[in-house]
Amino acid sequence: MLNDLGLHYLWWILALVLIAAETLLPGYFLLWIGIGAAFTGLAMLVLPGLGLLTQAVLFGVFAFLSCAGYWYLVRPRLQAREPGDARLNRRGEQSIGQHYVLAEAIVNGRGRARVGDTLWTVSGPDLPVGATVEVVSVDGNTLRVKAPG
Amino acid sequence: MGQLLALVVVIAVVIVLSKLVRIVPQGYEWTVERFGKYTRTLTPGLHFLIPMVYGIGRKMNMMEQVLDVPSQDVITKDNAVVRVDGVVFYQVLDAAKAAYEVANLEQAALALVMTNIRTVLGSMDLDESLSQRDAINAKLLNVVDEATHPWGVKVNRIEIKDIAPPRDLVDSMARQMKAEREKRAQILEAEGLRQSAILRADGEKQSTILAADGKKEAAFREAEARIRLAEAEAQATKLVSDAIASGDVNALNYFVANKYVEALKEMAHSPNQKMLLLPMEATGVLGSLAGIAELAKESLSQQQETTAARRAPPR
Repeated sequence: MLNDLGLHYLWWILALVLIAAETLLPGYFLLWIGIGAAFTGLAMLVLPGLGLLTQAVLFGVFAFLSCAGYWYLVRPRLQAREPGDARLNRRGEQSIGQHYVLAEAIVNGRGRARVGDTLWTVSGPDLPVGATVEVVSVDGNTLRVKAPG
Repeated sequence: MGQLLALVVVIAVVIVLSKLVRIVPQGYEWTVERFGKYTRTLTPGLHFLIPMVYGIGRKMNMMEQVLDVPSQDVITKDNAVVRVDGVVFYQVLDAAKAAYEVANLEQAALALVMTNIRTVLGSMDLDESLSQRDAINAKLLNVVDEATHPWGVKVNRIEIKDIAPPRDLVDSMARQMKAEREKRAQILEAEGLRQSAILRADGEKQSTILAADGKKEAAFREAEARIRLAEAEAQATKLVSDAIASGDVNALNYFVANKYVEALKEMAHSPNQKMLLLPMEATGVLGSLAGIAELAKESLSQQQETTAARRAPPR
């Protein structure tokens, strides 16, 4: 049976286990839950003698708070520092602002433009074959275009 | 009992919280369903989802993917059976459409490509299909890209990897090629022979012409020489006759006599000594001798006259 004095150690052990599990199971958000467990251990140091169920609920609250803390405090800073490339894996968005030549005339708002060595479906004002168009936005696998100018 | 409950609460917290937070890896997009209905798409990164209400629907791979088109037998327009395989490069651009508009995207795309390969090749001759890969790829891409458009997919490239006619057809193609080359070689050879024959005939013609030219030239020169000779003889005769006309007949006789005597000497010297032929006019010889005597006399008397004329001064 666990004595009340050593209980905070148990929370820290749980914290370490969770943090270790984070490295083994990527895609699960165990690191911050582990941090929540560590905080619970700290709370046990400050307020000893809480009931087990109360501790468990406290752990839930701390874990949730640490996750929210990450979301609202840590994540914006990380994103500001490492924005990454939002257009990665988004072929269409990489072509916004580019100029292409129509391989098929835009009729009734739909045509095709030559992009690299392939053809993309474009939508925009009716234009003849060979006209240059500018990509305005992307809608799935259709490029919205306009006449450049 | 309290401890067990506490343990359950802890485990539940861990599970619920780890479900609450979703991390979508780069290169994927996940669709979110609320009680089975699609609501939104999660982009790569971190997301909070209320568990039990929201669930993850499909995990779509947004990277460009390669589909191997298995080889199939296709009949061309001219009834040749060829084995064709290929590759398709496609990319999901609209995760929701790709997830829900089509049941099995890969299978559907593959079926589309395979049937269209049959269609495109079926409208071509074998020779065309072997040499018009680019055209085939372009046609396939056009059709398939248009067909997959509602699925939120962009087909970037379709390549026919291999078009293999059956063994015996390949053999006959090789034979045809060989025959083609041989024909060319033979034509070239014949051409060469013809050229050389023409050149040889031309040479012969030239040499004949040149020889005839030479002969003609020679004849001309010979004729000229004869004319010259005749002229010279005529001149000589003229000179002789002039000399005779201006001189004495006896001088001529001297020459004739000289010849006569020489001729006689020859006769005498001939090895055939049993018989000595004398000209019928042996007397003529003597006559000519007399002529010589006359000549001598004449010249002597002339000499005396001149000496006398020198000695005696003119009266």
